Amino acid sequence: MKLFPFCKDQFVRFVGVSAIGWLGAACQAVQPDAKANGGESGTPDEPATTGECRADANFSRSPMRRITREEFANAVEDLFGPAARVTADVLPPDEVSGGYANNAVIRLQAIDLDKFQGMARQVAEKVKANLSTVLPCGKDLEGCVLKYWQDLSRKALSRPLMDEERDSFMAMYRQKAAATNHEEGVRLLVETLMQYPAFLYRPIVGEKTSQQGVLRLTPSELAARLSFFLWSSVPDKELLDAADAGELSGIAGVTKQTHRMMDSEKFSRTLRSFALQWFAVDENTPIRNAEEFPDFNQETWNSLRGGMGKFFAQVVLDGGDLAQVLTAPYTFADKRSAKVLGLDVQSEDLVRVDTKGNERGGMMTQPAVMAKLGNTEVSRPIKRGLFVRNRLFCQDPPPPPPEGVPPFEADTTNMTVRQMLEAHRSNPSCAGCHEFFDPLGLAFSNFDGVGKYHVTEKGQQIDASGKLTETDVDGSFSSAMEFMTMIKDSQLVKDCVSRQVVRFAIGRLDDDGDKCSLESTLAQFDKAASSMEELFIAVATSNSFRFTGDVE
Amino acid sequence: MSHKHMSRPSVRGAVDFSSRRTFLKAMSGGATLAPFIPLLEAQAATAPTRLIVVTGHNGWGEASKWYPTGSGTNFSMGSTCNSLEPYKKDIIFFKDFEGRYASDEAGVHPMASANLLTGSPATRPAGGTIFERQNATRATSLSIDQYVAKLIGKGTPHESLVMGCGAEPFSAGDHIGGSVSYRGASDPILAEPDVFVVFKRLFANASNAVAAPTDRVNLRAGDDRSILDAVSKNLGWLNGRVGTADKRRLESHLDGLREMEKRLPPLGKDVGAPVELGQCVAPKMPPANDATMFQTRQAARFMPLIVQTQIDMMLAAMACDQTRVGLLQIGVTTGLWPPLFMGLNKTLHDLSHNFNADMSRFTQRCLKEGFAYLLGRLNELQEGGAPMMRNVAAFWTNEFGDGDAHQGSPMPIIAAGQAGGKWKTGRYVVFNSKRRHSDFLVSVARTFGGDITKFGTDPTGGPLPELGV
Repeated sequence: MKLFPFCKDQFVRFVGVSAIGWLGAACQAVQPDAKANGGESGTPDEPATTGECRADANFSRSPMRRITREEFANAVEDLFGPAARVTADVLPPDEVSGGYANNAVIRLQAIDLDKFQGMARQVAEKVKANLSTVLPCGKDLEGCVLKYWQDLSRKALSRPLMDEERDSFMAMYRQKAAATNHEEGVRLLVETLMQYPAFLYRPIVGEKTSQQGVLRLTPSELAARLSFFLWSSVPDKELLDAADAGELSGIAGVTKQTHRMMDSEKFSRTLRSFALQWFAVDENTPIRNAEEFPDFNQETWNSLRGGMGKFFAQVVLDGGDLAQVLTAPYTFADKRSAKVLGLDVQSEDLVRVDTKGNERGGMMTQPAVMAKLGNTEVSRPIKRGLFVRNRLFCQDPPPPPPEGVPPFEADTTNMTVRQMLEAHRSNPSCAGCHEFFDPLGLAFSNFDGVGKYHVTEKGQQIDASGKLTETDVDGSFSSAMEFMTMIKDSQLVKDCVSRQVVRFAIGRLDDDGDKCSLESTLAQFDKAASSMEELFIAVATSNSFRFTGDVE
Repeated sequence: MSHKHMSRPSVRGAVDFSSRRTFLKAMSGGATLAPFIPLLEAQAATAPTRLIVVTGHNGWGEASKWYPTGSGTNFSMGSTCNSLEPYKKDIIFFKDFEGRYASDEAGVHPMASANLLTGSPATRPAGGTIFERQNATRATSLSIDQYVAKLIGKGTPHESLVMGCGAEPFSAGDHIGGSVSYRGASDPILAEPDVFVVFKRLFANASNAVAAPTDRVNLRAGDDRSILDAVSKNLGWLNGRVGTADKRRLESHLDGLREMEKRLPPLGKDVGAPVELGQCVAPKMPPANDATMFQTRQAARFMPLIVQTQIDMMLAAMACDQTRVGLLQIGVTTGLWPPLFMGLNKTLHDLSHNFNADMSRFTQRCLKEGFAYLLGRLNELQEGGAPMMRNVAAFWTNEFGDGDAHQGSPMPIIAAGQAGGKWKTGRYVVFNSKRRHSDFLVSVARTFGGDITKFGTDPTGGPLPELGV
């Protein structure tokens, strides 16, 4: 195996940061002991207290997050019921960081507020139209509204209304109801709440711990974080009650709530969303040549995305492990997506179907993933290979050579994609980077621009073989599924996947301050034989999730 | 008329919206934007100077087709820019500028476009892989359009108007990393794709608007006032609790609320406040049937139509003095969508790297539908007996010249308009020594009275004598 010097450096640097557990070195992963550190005794938990983690626990400050489009839509449904459901894609687009929508930096401007205003009006009208179901009231209208509004606001804001807030909301209601009617009064309240900053933003202020520079999330902040992590929406009464009772102050209480929340249908909603974001499959239908791919339209795309999300959720909810996420030979399809998958399904709705295990299985070979990393015409090995390195191994390519790379000049008319890339790599200054990711992309050569499986390209048998290098599971493979099977037990992949869940959960990229927390999460994931459910629990109970730094 | 009566281009068969006439015909057979009467003649004599920025992305394609022939005041456009030939007298074509970014560094695309109008290096988070970092690329200072907006936009209802056609990458991940307009460090302004949203902001409340009352923004001003009160109070409460970075975000929110409040009628009135446009008649709202055409992601099919509608909207806003600064982003750096309207099904990014001739054709079309169309309209519109062109400083630019090599140098800039008499147009300027694109940015700032000698943090050789500032 030939390693270019800068590749080697990069590799060592990378391994040094991220896969310490694998090398069996350095920092001892510390699990704060729930019993000794609060929870049942009522003393709030402290961040890592022993071992080398102590020195490392200088977390970055968690940014204030604004509600995403998807969270807004979920919250509306959870607060007002399915009749009030809205499509929130008229809201400003979400800011993505670390690969996940987090809305942590970008500012809202007047034009954005217009959109929130329009959305709020829509929600309020829907609630009003359905008010007798949402809020059945007897004679004491005002008492009824007061109770409803306090309960509802507590969920929407993850905290009870302050007295002053309660009074001004009620004054608004009273005035409007007097001038018009009860329904209009409630409509105005709802319209306000949907634009209320404490509903739109989730700031983390935190409270002091014994460790300087480390803040603990307050119970209501942690409740909100848990709920947006596991449900992509506002908390429910039970979670807020637990927070108020001090039950979230230790790992045991958080674990208990996490288990409860994972049993809810709302968790599978989040799993679907996480899967799509992890694999960068968004709602935009890739634009494809209609003559070549006649059935590839918005409907097919929705089915493919839906099936992929459902597959991931099913694996996790069945207690599946990472290997299954990466290789399990089944998916969910309806009659539209079945055409792409090459399966016979007549159902209008997504149903579970087996795939040919040697051709397709797990997340990576989902047509939606292959299509997003595809091209308008042919398979796209460079993108796919880089994606595998970036999002499954958390590896960066080595930096390009310092001097300008000479242009690639060759007659590629009759070349397969593989031949083109081989010609390209014959130039050593290109090879340095491309040997790192091309072969991984070529493993998926059987999948075309919409993710259909083929055995020939330009009349030639497709060759998907290659070599994986610079990982803990290096070796040769002859097909995509052989490749996925090879990497399914990689410690690097395991570490990377746990980072993905952490980033999704905390709304920022992990950094050096998260080192010990990450190791602890990884250790827990490992110990549970890579159970995906356990990974979500490990993240929810991790230090990076429950604590924050106090320096911006 | 419904959507289906329009000739909709298939993937292969491109429809040419190139002429104004075809465009109008395509728009359901009626004029989308009714002719508007600009400022009164008397006002026009003192018409303000406006700034219009148009950006292209991913380079110009083939260098050989880019440059004019000839020199000085006697020159002919190259084939990529041939649509500008009729407007030569209003143009200053520069050869060329030196940009900041010139490397094969992974993810250089969004860094170059964040630098384009700011003249400062871009930033992106530490950690993660290139996938994550690239998505979160941001500029580190304000862009020239926003600098000028602060100088001249205060008195107008909208400090600036930032629109985009195909300015979303059309791919997973961030819709923000390709932004070019910034109010400050890490404070991008997203280019609005939807001309209906823009119309509602600008004209729905116009006193003489053709818009139906239901389109008016403030149907229930009394409600809006109570809501704004409650929301502002809560914002203040949050502001007292969060750190500096979060405070800035809440303050921006508060600024937005203030702008909403300005649109409310006096206390006691419960109907939307009409915007007084004086003699200026608001344009008609485009037919609602066609709404979907103007939304995100339609650029691949309808780019010429969208761009020209956006330009008409921008010029109507300027003629009515609703704003004095407009930016139109055409396409986006990287750009993972194909210009199907030209019958091309390779993505913009692919074109820029592997299909240089097609990239030239795409740039040619963008200039024709965008910049040349704009210049044509600026010549047609009269203010105080002179074309609006006289009162505009406009420029077209692109983060790369040679997009295939990711080279920010040479960086193309074409300036246009007489900037109220400041710019001496009709010239092909070939620099004897290297000038940086930051030199151009500082010159634009000075054109609008900015008393500065450096814009952004990139090195600069100072203002350009060629622009007379």
